[in-house]
Amino acid sequence: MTLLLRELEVEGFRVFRDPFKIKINEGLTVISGPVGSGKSSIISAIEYALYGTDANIDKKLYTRRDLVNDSSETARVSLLVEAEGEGLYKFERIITKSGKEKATLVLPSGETIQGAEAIKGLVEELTGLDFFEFSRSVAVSYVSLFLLAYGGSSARSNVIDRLLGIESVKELASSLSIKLFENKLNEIDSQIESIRELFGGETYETSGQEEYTVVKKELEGLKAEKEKLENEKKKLEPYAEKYQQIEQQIKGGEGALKVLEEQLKKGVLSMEEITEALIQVQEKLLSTAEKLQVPDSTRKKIENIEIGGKNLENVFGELEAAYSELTNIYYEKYEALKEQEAHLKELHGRLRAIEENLVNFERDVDNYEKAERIVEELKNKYGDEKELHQKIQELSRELDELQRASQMERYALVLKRHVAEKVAKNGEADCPVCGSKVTSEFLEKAKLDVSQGSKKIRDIEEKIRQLEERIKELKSALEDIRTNNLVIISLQDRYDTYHEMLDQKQQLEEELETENMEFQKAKAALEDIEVELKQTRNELSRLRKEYAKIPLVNQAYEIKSNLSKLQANLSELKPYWEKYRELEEKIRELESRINEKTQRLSFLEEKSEEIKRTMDKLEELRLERERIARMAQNISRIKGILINVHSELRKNKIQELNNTMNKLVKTMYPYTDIEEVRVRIRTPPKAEDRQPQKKYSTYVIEAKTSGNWLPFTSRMSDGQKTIIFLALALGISMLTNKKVGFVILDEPLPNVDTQIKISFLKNILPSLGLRQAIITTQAEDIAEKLEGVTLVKLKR
Amino acid sequence: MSATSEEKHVGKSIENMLREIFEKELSGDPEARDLAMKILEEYKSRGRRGVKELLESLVEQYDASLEGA
Repeated sequence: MTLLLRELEVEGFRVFRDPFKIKINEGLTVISGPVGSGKSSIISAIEYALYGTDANIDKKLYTRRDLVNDSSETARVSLLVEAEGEGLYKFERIITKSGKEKATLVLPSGETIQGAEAIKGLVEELTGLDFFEFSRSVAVSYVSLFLLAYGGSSARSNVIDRLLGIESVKELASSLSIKLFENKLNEIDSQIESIRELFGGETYETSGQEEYTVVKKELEGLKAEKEKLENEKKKLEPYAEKYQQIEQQIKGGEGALKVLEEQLKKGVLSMEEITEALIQVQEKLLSTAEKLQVPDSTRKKIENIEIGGKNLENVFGELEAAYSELTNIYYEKYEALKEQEAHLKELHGRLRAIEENLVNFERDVDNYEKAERIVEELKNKYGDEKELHQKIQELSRELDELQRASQMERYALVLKRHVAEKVAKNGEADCPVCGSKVTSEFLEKAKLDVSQGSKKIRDIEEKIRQLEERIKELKSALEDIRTNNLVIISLQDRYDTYHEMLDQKQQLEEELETENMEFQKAKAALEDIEVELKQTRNELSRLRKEYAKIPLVNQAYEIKSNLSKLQANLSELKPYWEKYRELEEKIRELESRINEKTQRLSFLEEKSEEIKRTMDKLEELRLERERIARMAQNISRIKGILINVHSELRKNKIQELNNTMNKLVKTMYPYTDIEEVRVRIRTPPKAEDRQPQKKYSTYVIEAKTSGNWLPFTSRMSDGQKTIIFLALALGISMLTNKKVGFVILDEPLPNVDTQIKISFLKNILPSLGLRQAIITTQAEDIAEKLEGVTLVKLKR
Repeated sequence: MSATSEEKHVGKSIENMLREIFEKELSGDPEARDLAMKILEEYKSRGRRGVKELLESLVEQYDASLEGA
């Protein structure tokens, strides 16, 4: 079965925005056009339709999303492929700008296969190649040719390896880095070295162990010695306890003695002196009792105290009892005095209250006395109220009479004037009173009467005025008397009360004076008694202390005597005590040494543990070193195997390759200057015995001219080089490809002359034994001259 | 992994050949043989990077075991 291309259709794919379709016939198909017209896009489309990728995606020059034309949302590729004897397979792939792809394969049976994974398996079955193999044996790019012709020897060898499909062996071998393991080994060595330096290695461990044994032994010895001493000490313990007890007793005794001596330092009174002093106390008590006016029984009790007896203790008791009784009586008196004082205070209070009250009454009393004085004066001047009243009535009557007389006089005077005026006018007139005729004589008389009458009226009126003033004065006096009498009457009670209070005040003052005198006297007497009692109490107290001192002398003597005995006992026990103390000291020293040794032992134990841990760590590192070293050895061995395999593969492939390559050169190259070409393996020197191979072999490409094999670089033109390496690439393709009946060459002859191009295009298919070749080129003029060539012209 | 995204680092024929050679050459050393197979497997699927990481992980096993301890 041979696989052939039949039809390619693209839309929105790389430079093809609009739908584009080409039919692919048997023979040579030349795709021509300027740069950017889409020549390489057609090769890319064939690869993508079959394998879902292309050479540039495989080399990571771009991603599948970049297959979509800039102006399109999706790219669609459809490829019709014929498997001879089976029928047509239709591959279709649609990819969006987001990279989402839909892949479909329609089988010759009409069955449709969906999904990239399923299609992949079928494609590999149809072509007998995976994409990796397809891209180096079917689709040969000018990049590979360029690297073959112009790369360094290493790059060239790599390209040949890649074309031969064995570069992966070399890559795998070179990826096995021994350096990684060497670095780790160095790191572990460094750790081991630093640990050894830090801990001094095994020597330290041994010396530490030795010291541990010595210290442990020493410690046991010390503990045994301590136990022995403690047993000895235990035997001495009763003596030591006794010694300490006595020492304590002596200390206590000395303390007590010191206190006694301090008390006895001021001297001690004799019994006689104390007795004499007590008699004086008794007399003093009697004197005080006298002053206190105690009952006879009490006084006799004091008198009956017999001080001359032997037992002064009783005498003290009786005197103190008497003192207490007198003190009680004193306090009774004192309480009475306090009551008296309270009474005095009360009297004072009352006096103050009366005085305060008197002040309140004083104004009324003044008013009362003033009214009384005024009434008295008015009475003396005008008489009493009755007399004054009578006088006013008398004078009022007299006034009335004078007023009537004055009135009469006035009437008469008016009448006479009236008559006189009529007489003066008429010569006569009738008297309006008596009716008699009055004549001119009457005028003279009337004149005189009028003059006298006027004078009389004036006199009367003067009297009236005087009388009125007098009445007014008397009435005023009467009014004053009455008013002041009213004041007197209204203030009479308060005036009387005031005087009562004055009497009370006087009485109180007298009472206070008397009582106060008595109080002061009693108080002074009591104060004297108090002083006496205090003196008696102090004296009794002093005498008691003196009396109490008498036994202290004996006591001090007894203590001294006792202390002497204790000192003697202490001296006897002292050797035992000193021995005991010595043992104690020794035991303490031993304990200290035991403690030191225990600490040292503990330290050594810890150190030993640390050394053990370090040794464990060292062992761990040693094992790890072994593991890494073993692994490095293994890696090195695997790497050596791979290098050897790689060399063998090169050798195996190279003979077949050389035959094919020469056949191709002869048919494609129209000239005779290149007699023969070959690829030779240059093998590195063999590794030393049992050592893995570390160096790779390389390819050397040589051409034979004029009977001499020369490196292809010598004297070869670029065109000759291109022919040699195109032959090499196609030779490799023939070695690999068995099922695919076509080859795709992307710009294979960039720099050769027309003769070579024509020769190449004419002979390519027969030389390779293939039925289809798709070649991209810019040399469309040559393609047009050849028969049986399908020319596809592309435009930008 | 789909055919389009898979990165294949060694052809099937070479892979099989290497397996056979490792079996033969390292038959007396199972540890080295297993390691070689492991390396080949890693290279097949992840290439040089895969092998590099595998070797690093083998070296770091000790550190990891110490950390675990």
